[in-house]
Amino acid sequence: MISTDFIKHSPETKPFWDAAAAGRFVLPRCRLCRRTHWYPRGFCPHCLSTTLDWEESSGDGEIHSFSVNRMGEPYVLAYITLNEGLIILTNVIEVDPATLSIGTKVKVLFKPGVGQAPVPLFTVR
Amino acid sequence: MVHDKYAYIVGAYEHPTRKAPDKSVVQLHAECAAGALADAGLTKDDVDGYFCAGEEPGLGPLTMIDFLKLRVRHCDFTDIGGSAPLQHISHAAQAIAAGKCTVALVTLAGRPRSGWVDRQPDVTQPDLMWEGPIRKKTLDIYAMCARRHMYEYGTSSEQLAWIKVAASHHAQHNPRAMLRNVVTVEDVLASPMVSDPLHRLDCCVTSDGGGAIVVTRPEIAKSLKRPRVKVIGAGEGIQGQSAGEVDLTGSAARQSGMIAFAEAGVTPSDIRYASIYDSFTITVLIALEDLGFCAKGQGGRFVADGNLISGVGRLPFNTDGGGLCNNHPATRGGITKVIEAVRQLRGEANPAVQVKDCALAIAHGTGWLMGTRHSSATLILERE
Repeated sequence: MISTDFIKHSPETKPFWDAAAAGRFVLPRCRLCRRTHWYPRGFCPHCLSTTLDWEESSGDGEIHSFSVNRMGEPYVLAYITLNEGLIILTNVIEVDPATLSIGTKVKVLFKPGVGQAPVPLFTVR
Repeated sequence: MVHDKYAYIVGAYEHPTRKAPDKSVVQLHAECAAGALADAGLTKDDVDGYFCAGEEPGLGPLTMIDFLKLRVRHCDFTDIGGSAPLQHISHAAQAIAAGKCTVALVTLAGRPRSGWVDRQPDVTQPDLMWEGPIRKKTLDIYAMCARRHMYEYGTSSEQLAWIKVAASHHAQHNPRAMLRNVVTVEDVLASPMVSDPLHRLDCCVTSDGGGAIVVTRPEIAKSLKRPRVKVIGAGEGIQGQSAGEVDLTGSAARQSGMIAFAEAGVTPSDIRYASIYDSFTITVLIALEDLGFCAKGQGGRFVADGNLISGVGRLPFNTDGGGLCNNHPATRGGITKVIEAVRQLRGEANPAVQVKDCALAIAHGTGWLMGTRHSSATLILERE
């Protein structure tokens, strides 16, 4: 998977990736209905407005649910509830899976994912 | 659905193979088509509607209709994952009621065991940019549904295991089932933890194979010799991540079930037999709650102690052994759900698992991934 291909075919997400390149985690917020959404689009999926602001987020949240794949080297797939209320799909990395539970506090970090593609991942805080 | 325009399932066929290295995907489609038409007592020249989705190659029905040398005036290849054949039967019934076709053929086939075809990721698919680089397998996503259900409602691994136990009790009587050994709750819990909290035995099998269904108008159904199975209710639904408002413990079955039951004018307590899509044990538990067989959160108690075992419990389910023990052709279990429901309503299930006087059944499918984005399709079927 070549992430640059995805970004090329989804130019509306460029503000997110530009911020990510500078180490900032931003969320799209609708100027009309004031709601935010995940995963980022170039319009508001709640009201179809195309006027968005890209707001900086702390990237803090807590585990909504998670699983620990043990078919090889264990890894953690999780849904994280951000402080903004959005629930996002990600991996929790650099952690002993046995220490995790629903409600564990986590924070975002940018690390290359599968195929070295950039993606927001999370670790415990 | 107008009452005098009910459609009937008149042909059903399950391919006997579970591993087909010597057959192509399209050959399996063709053999399933032939089997279902022979079962109905119809010929391919009677077919004027065709439905498929999944592993069929090329441009779906365009390729398949040419390959099978059909002459149709209606086709549909809506792909909503493993529940697609149930939706196809609903759409076939609607097309028949609208006069767009009279004999509809639905086929499904695939050979993931013998030759998985890796498809290149679609760079225009909007969620892939965000989810492609994440390490995850299908079972990890269902495992998150299970963990959240355990957290919110106290559901236990033992309760989930009862679903596999029930399926295995049925599969022991099916000579074609891939897993025929009866297992216990302890066996399920002792199997390897593949994606915590799901064990290996919480997962379905992977098989080659397929199936086909023939749907037609009342007057044609009545001219045939086979017992008649009437489609009296159908519903569908799609549920995704709702832009960040994720629901891991509920599914689109709430909508598909409500619509299907309302259309049929029956309630879950009227149902004598249930075919419930069973990619994983948790898939069954969430669907049973959402379809209204028990309250949300009570699924664990509902499935425990053999309540899904034919002749033992209140709601016999997947009496062919289901995806959990029998087969899961093309990694899509929808059509086998309909086939076993038809067998039950015809009184043609294995005698050891046949539900006595089975007059009303449900067949329910879950397509793609409960937990990220999935479809539900529900059919209520009545013996006439």
